[in-house]
Amino acid sequence: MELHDGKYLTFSLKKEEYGIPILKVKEIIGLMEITDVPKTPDFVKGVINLRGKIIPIMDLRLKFMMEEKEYNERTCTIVVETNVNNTKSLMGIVVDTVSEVVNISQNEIEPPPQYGNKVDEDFLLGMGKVKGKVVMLLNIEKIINSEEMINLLSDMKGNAVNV
Amino acid sequence: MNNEENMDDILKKILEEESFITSQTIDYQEYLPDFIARALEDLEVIETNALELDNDCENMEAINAMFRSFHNIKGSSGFVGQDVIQKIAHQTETLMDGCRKNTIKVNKQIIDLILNSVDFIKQICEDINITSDETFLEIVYVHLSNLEKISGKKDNNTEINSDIETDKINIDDINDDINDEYLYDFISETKEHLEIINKNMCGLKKDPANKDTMHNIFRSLHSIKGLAGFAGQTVIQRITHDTETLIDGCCKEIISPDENIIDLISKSNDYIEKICDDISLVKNQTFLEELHGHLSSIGNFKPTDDQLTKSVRKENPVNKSEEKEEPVIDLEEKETPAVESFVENFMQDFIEEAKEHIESIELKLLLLEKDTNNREIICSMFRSFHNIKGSAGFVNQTLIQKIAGQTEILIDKCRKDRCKVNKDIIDLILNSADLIKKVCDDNTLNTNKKFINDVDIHLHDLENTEVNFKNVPEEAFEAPQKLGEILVEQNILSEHEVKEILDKQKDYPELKFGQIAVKEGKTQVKEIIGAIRTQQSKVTAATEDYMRIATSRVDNLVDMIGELIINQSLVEQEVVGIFDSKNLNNLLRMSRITKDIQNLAMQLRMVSLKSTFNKITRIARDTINELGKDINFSTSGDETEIDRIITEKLNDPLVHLVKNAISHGIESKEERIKRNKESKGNVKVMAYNKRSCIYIEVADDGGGIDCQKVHKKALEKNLIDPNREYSEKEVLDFILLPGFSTVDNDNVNNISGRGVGMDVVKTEISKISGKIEIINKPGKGCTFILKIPVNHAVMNGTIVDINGQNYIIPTINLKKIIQPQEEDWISVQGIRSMIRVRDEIIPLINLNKVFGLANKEDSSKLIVIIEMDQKFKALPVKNVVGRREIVIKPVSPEFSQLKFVSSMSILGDGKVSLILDIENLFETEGAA
Repeated sequence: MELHDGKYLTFSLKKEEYGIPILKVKEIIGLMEITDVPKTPDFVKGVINLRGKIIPIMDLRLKFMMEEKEYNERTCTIVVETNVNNTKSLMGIVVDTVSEVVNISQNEIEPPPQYGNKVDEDFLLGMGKVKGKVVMLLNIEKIINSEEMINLLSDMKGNAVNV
Repeated sequence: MNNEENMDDILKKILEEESFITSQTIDYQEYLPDFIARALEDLEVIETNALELDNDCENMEAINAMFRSFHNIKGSSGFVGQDVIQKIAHQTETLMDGCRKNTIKVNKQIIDLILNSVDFIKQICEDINITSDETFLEIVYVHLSNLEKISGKKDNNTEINSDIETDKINIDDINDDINDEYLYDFISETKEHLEIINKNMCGLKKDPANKDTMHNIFRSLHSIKGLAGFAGQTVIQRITHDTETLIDGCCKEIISPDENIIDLISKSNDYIEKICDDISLVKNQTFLEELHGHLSSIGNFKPTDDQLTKSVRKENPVNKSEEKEEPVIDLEEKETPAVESFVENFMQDFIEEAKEHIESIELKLLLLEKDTNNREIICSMFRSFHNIKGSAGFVNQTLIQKIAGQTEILIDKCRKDRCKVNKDIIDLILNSADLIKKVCDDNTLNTNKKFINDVDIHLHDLENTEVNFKNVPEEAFEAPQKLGEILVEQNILSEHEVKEILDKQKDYPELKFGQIAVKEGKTQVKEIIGAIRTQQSKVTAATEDYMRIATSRVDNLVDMIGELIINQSLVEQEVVGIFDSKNLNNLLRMSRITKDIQNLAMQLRMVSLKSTFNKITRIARDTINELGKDINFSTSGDETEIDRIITEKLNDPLVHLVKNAISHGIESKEERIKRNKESKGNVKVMAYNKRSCIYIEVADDGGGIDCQKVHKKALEKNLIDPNREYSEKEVLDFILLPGFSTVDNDNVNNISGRGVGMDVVKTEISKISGKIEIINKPGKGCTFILKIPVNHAVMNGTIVDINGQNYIIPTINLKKIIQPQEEDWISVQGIRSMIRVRDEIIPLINLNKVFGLANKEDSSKLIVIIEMDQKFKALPVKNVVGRREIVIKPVSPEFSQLKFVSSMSILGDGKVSLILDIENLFETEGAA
């Protein structure tokens, strides 16, 4: 699998700390005006214009089934570049706030727990321990796998009226 | 010839070659994409010419162009290790050669074979892995054996070799004395290369297995070798050649690059450097002996591989000062294949360059005829021939080299007033030019005995002219005027100084202009070298016309410019009223420039329809042959430019339309005669520009469409409402319906008739927001007109507010905007589902359903009537915001499932807006 140790960008969601490999991060932007795209799952907030490129925006809170939080000035969008099926694409993920970039070495990372986590263990690369805190390291590609998204979309279709 | 036996033979041959080539291949895979792109271009050229040849079997130009292209493919395919392609190209080339020499008569069969070859190569280019597919290879072998049967010349190769050998020996006699001129330059360039080698040697010492470093060294050595041959430095040539072979062996892992090897390479470097520092060393016996020892120790390490040993078989001690030419012969005849293909890449450049020179020579000869004393003309001709000679040597065109060399000598005589320019001499020079041109046009002439004979006679003539002036001592040539001119241009010397130096030169004829200039303290050595460089680069500068750019870069540029425009308009809105008139003017000028840039960027994406038309011409030809009809297919307006993305989308529809026209449109011969028409049918594809749209017409002069039959069929297939009267136009549009075909099921052939084609046409064309119009003249023919917006990336859109968010409707689909009255509504089961507009009842689009919105219908105050295929739908909107030119961006793959969005766009305020897919709106609603 992927190289586990290295630099991670950490951010918080509902007081929990998460991290994603820094190499996946393209940039961090503040809030931008999001265009809603109808008939998409709740966690897909819509699309934004990133300097001429249209990229989808996903709310990570909603994706992890946490309650929605109103966006404020601390809310950040992390633009990640993913490589799914050899196609590179950009996506913005909305998080409560971005914390810092930390160096986590291999021996500070433990395998993800097998059960009992709100976040699907598939999404986790492992648990990193930084300064006494535990950071959940996310496999961002799994999370925003576009295939999964398409599946979700087609699931949504039938329920569209109920939304 | 027994086919099967033949096939086995070829199979064996291919297998042999295969293993041989793989062993030779240095890692050239990185060049593969570039190779494929080039090959496809070449294939296109071949196809075009093949089709031309089809019309005119005697078209020599087409044959030559095809030959060249196949030759290109052959050369570069070897380079990237695509041996199957190489084999096909080679065999086809042989066939073409036969055609060219009139030993094979061009007929339909030959053209078919050539086109087959093109197809095979194309297939491989599209999927490289297919070369490991057994079945595919088998088909290729059959094809190859067919080719060989027709070209039927197997022993060609051996002939070629012997011919070349004899050539080489002659050429060296001429070579010796001419080459000093470039020595100066050669040394400086060699030193540069040596520096590179030394740098790489350091790297190699650290990491002996590093192929990149080895390749770098190999390249530099090869360059030196080439230059050395050019400058007549056979000793250096010899050293570099041997060392090169050694490194080549390392690259191919035949020998492992250990310390000894690295030492040897370093030593070679030292020797070359020594020679560069003191050219006279090559005549120093002790030095040569020492060198010889070095070379033989290289020889001990040389690769044992069959192919490579062959190239060094003449390792026996050679007394260099006496048998100077010997190593040269070896080199030219035995250069490793990798090097050869490397050289072939330059071949095309060389030919073009040579042709340019010849052209200018011809022109100047005509001038010279009028003014036989014009030294300037003579000098410039001399330069041209000299250039040809130089580059010919580089690409192994010995014949050309020979001719140019001999002619150069003659012109030099004239230049130095040792020979009076008269008509005979002009004729001779013209003849030389003609011969070189011939060789350029037809590379195989190099091996054509008769032609070589002609050349020999000509060379003899040239020499004889010379004989009369033999008493005058020969010496090195130079191009003083030009060098002087350059130096004057660069303000290094004044004209007066140049003249002075030239005068001096008369006293010291053995010295070159540059040398005198330096000696006299007029210039620096550096400046002279610079001037010599300029002198050479001027020759090559004019050839570069095109460059290859990745499409993604152009797309990025267009994106960024779109962004620039958006920001520009944002700024403009802000500053109006704040800026004074002067600043406003500046701003306006800036926005104009931005718009210009946008236009330019858009043009970058425009390509001509040429390749599209070529493709359909090819398909038309195949279809006509398959059906055995007598049809004249023609195209016009292929210079019309269109967005690259659209040309891709146009292919399928055009193919279907053309196939339809050929198979259904044009009647059988008997019928045509019955209808008083020419027995030969006509199908024509035309493209033209009109009001920011491209029109493409596919017209046939066949029977036209039988409207009654269409109507009947449509009824039969339950595609239409039986209780309605349809206008003729509507009836014609039925043929665009999916599944519609007037051909009875048992008549479906493999060309058309299943009723898919026209549906494809319609969907594809509407995808690029185009329209189809059918003009039907029963009994006289039928014309399909495709109307496509020029620029796919920009369209006119109307922005509407649906439920508080902006959406874009393509203005082309917008029929009407109305403010409905209460009584216009028609409710079904208590839900407003239709609206009456002037006696027409138009179904309403259910926003809840389409957008998955909650029931907020009340906020919609306006109704937008959208139109598609003469059908209407009413779309309730809150407001109509405006209409403007918008830049279309594709939907990100995450949303590809959303059918109601065709694409996205960024509006003037920088916000993203979704463009509604009108077609989908009709479909989903129609089904509901």
